[in-house]
Amino acid sequence: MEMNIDEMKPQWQSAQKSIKPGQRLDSKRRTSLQRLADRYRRFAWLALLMIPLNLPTLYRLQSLWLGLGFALIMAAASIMDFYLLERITSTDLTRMPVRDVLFRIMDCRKKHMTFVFLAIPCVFLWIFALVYLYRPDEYFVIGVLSGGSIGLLIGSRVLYQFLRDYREALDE
Amino acid sequence: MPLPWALRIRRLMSCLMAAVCGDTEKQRSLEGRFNELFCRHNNLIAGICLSFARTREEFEDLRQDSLLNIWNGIGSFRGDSSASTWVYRVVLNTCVSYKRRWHAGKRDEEICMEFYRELFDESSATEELERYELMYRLISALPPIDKSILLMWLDDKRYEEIAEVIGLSRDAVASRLKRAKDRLAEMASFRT
Repeated sequence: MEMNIDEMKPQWQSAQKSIKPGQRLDSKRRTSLQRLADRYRRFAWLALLMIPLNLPTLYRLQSLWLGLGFALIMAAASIMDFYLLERITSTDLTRMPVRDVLFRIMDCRKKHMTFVFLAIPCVFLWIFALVYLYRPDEYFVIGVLSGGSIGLLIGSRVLYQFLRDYREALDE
Repeated sequence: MPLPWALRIRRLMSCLMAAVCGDTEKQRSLEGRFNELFCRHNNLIAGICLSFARTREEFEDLRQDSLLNIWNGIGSFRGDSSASTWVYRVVLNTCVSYKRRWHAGKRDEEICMEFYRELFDESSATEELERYELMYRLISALPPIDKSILLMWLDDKRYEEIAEVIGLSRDAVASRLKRAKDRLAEMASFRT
């Protein structure tokens, strides 16, 4: 079927008149941006809470560097999530121009992924140090490696999804 | 002469009544404005969301998110621009900021002819629906900003209005519109 660009305007206007009325507003749902903000808020507080909740375990490790390393990684993750939360919640869809909204969202995603790329080697380093410290305990080592592999699989899938969305919007 | 405590209670009651009734009246006024916008621009909202959605679920999500954002923002709409221009801004911003839901192990249903038959009037002929389907498919292949500019142009919006909503200069809008049309013409001829 052919499509003449000059015919597109009357065709668009005709299509608008033919669309049937849709469902009414469901005021109980959350929008995509609100869900994203909720997720950042949740993970920001979770990362912050991980520090005091894991203090007894970290104390038992008897390594100050491991404890400090863990606290630093969690604190950095929490700060990043709070920063991204602020950026998302301050995006006013009713007033801002479309280009600004698009660039802000992409900027948030870029910063999110940059942080993930920087944090992953730190986390691997921390896990390696933990495994090295407890290398005589083979069950502990197997547990850490299994958990790490599952985390890597889930993280890779999320990363693939993100890069696909990011690539499309980068066409700007 | 009334006792001071009775006077205070009476004043408190009248303030509370004013607050409740005032809020109820304000709520009714907002609902009225929203219903008016919904009735007048419902088709426009659906058309824009259809241009951005890849699947049925995305279309429904975008439509509901757009309505919700209009509802949340209607109190702050002061009428500086026309209502349709404001609706365009909110809906386009909703579409460009939308993050796809990730359904583990489930593929969303792609938009197909059957969906168009449900979405459009029963009186629309199959050939007409096929033309609409091709039009929306071509438009949805454009990048977000070019698509937004084209959609407003298709609705006969002036370049100045488009520039204000998109956040570009008038000349940039004209140049990007030309680019979008050239790209559409290329895609359309490729499909023949």
